[in-house]
Amino acid sequence: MSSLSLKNIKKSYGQHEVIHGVDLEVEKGEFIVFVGPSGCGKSTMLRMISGLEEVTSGQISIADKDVTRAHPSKREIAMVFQSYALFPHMSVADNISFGLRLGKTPKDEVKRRVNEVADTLQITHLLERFPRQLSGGQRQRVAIGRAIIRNPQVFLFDEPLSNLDAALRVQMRLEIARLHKRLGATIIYVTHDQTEAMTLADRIVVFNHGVIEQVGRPIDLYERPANKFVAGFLGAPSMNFIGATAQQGAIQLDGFNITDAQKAHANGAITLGIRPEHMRISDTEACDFSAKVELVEELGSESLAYLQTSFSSDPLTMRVDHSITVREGDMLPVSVNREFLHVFEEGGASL
Amino acid sequence: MNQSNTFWRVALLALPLSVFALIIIWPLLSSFYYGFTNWNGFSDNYDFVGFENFGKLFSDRLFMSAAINTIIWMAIAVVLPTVLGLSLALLIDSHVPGGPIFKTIFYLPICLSAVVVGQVWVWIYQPDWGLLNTIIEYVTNDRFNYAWLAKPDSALYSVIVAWSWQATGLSMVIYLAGLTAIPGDLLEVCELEGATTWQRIRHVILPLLTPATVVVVALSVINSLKGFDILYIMTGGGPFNSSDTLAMHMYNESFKKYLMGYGSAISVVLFLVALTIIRLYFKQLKKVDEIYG
Amino acid sequence: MADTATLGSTSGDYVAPKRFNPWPVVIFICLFTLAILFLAPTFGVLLSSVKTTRDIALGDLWAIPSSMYWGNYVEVLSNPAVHGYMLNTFLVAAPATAFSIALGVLAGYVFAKLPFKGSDLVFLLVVSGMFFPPQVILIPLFRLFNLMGLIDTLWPMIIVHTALGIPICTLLMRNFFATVPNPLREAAILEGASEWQVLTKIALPISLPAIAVLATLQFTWIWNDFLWPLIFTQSDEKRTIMLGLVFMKGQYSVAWGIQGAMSLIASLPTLIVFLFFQRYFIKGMTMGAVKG
Repeated sequence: MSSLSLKNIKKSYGQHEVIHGVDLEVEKGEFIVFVGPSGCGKSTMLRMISGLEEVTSGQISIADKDVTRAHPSKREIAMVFQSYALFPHMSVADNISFGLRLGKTPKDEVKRRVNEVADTLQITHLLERFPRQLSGGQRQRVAIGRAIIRNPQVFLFDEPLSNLDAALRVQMRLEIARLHKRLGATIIYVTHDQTEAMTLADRIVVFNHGVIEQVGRPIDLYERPANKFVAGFLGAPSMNFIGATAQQGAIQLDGFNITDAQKAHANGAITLGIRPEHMRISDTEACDFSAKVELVEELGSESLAYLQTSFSSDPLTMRVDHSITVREGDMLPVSVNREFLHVFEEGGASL
Repeated sequence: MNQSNTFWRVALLALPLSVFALIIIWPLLSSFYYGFTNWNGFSDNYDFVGFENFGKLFSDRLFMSAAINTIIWMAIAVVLPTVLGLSLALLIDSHVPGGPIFKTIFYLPICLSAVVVGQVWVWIYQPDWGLLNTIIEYVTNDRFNYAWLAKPDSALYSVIVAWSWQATGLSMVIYLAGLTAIPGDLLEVCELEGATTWQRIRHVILPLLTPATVVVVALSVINSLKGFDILYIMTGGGPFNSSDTLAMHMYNESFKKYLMGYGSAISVVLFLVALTIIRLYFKQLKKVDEIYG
Repeated sequence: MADTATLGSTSGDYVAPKRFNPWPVVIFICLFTLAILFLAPTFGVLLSSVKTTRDIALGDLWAIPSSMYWGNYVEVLSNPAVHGYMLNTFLVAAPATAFSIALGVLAGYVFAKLPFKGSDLVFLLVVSGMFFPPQVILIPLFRLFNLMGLIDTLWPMIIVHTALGIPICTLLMRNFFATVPNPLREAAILEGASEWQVLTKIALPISLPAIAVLATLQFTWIWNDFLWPLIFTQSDEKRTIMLGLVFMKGQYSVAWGIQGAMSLIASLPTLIVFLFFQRYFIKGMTMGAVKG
């Protein structure tokens, strides 16, 4: 059964179209992450699913019911906001039960369900407090509690971790993942952080300029990006791109011994993509190219070396294991893992 | 969502806007209408007299002197409460002990009604035992019983001083709010650059207070245009109309002489003057906002 | 002494820690003198109210009294007309304050949370109403209420003060509602709240400080108003306290002590509001002014 289905969704503000036709099917229980740079339309898409924004054209169904024109509160969705949107003048318990109380649910049932939710999230001791008295992580949990109690078909998360500091973000990320497993709920999660996307998602939806660039499992997107944009957006540090030319599948690059990497359809101007982890310092004489180390960033477990080459104007980033010492100014022999070499045609599509 | 938003916009705005339209906008517009009639305030009959009322303004000696008095009032209102309010704000902002108490004292008059303020100052100016003459007698050691409010030369200015006494507090708190809005690190930069107190005020604080100054000056001018209550209590526009303002003159013509048509014409003038000032004010605010945001 | 030498020096050199800095003292003395001058008028009323008319006429007003004379207060407080004035003023100020705030809340909410094409212009139009001298609407309103037969009742004052309060109340409420985060409204709507419920259950409870500000401002202004009662009332029974004050001056023309006591009693409600809610008062004045 499909939990959420988007059919050719378009959105314009006046003459200006910002979403250019989005199609997506989400299965029940899936964790879907919308990712993309700011202004790519992912938040607008989420707000249209919630009903806070109206769609210009297209159809939204939730649990096989057409809700395209339904009022937000009638869509069986719940949303967790970036700012948490807790009502400052209400206690935690009142915040969580706000919707139930609006719906005139009997008092003892409200109480029972609030306690249930508080139990799940381990915030029972906070129920009488006010949002101001809570830490960022606790506020986050209350906001999630307010969503859970509605028993929605779909949970919508709008960049829920971006207001937290780095350590807490990792912790809450784990907790959201755990919660997803326990509730078996369908989640649409918006973020601009590709790490969150990679770690949380069953499937990632990459947005750019109001269209979906690619949909798929994180590892598929990482290994087989459909185009240059997806390739560059996922993975940190991001993929190195090198301009090159190809003739009948043979790639020509000055100072880079790569003609053996055959790509059948490559012809004319192409872009070569190499991830930093797919380069290594060659231990034999046989290397693909030699490069001068311009700068080294020590990250502890590993280092990032920025390499000057004869064939790329931008320095190339390479991951180096911390056991190998690299110094600035060194000339290194570098070899590339051919298996993970990406080639993109002029328009950006993957070959 | 869109339809329901439109519904709520209409539902929520209906009452406030219709009250505003009925009690403020409509009377404003009909003031223009009455300005072209000779209505006397009571009878149901009145005639259209064309531009007669407006023409009369130029030959009305009292209107001219009221207009001049209003300009004088505005001019003093630009200077007195502004300078006093700024000085007080700077002094209080220097973390002097008792600052909050001083603030309350200077601000206190704002909660008094113009009637009470007027009466208080009538006593200050009282010729026989008023505070002003008592002090002058004490200093000069001589009899002094000048009747400040009863002399055409001094009546208007005496009222303006009393008015400024009340208006200063507002200027002061606006300047104080402006001072607290100045980022502390800017003042620390002054400290590091070795600026003297005077240099700091002259080159950093005063320029940064420009938005506050725009507000203070504009409010003083606008409020001076409204000057009526305190004048009514202290001099009633007298002696011999020497302290009449436009607001006062309008009241006298309309409700003393029942020349409501003519009074309406004066109120139209008043409106146009106010409109000009307000437009200047908004324009200036916008300009200041662009720079100081 | 080295210390005093550095005091006079200007910028540039490092100024050693001073043992004596005259500035705070000078500033304090300045402020203290000004404060006395500023308080003198108010203090004079206080003095007059505890002195007999004879004492004042003899030129003793500004001396500290050796004994308090309470007769002025007895005279004023036992005057039934004063009770009537106070009651009338309250009957005008309380509802007009409440109504104007209620209307300001409604309009301010739309301008802040449900803006539409041209709403900024409408908002500006409403707010500019705050700046015009009341004289420009005096005559038509007099005619309107005269035709309705409401002259010499409290109604015109209640209605006019309600309307005149709309600009400032709309301005302050809009500015306050604008600080209420939009996601709060959206979260409530997702939970099934109607716009009215968002306003009454979310926006309004959060905005109590702004409403306190408006209540103090509006109450004070309406209580102190003189022009509108002057236009709209004729009989003594309908007079408000400020009007009563002026008319009783005739009755007690040279009884300055009684006039002083009367002024003080008339100002008491606003003085109390001011002293207790000074913070709100100042906030409202500056908010209304600066954001104008």
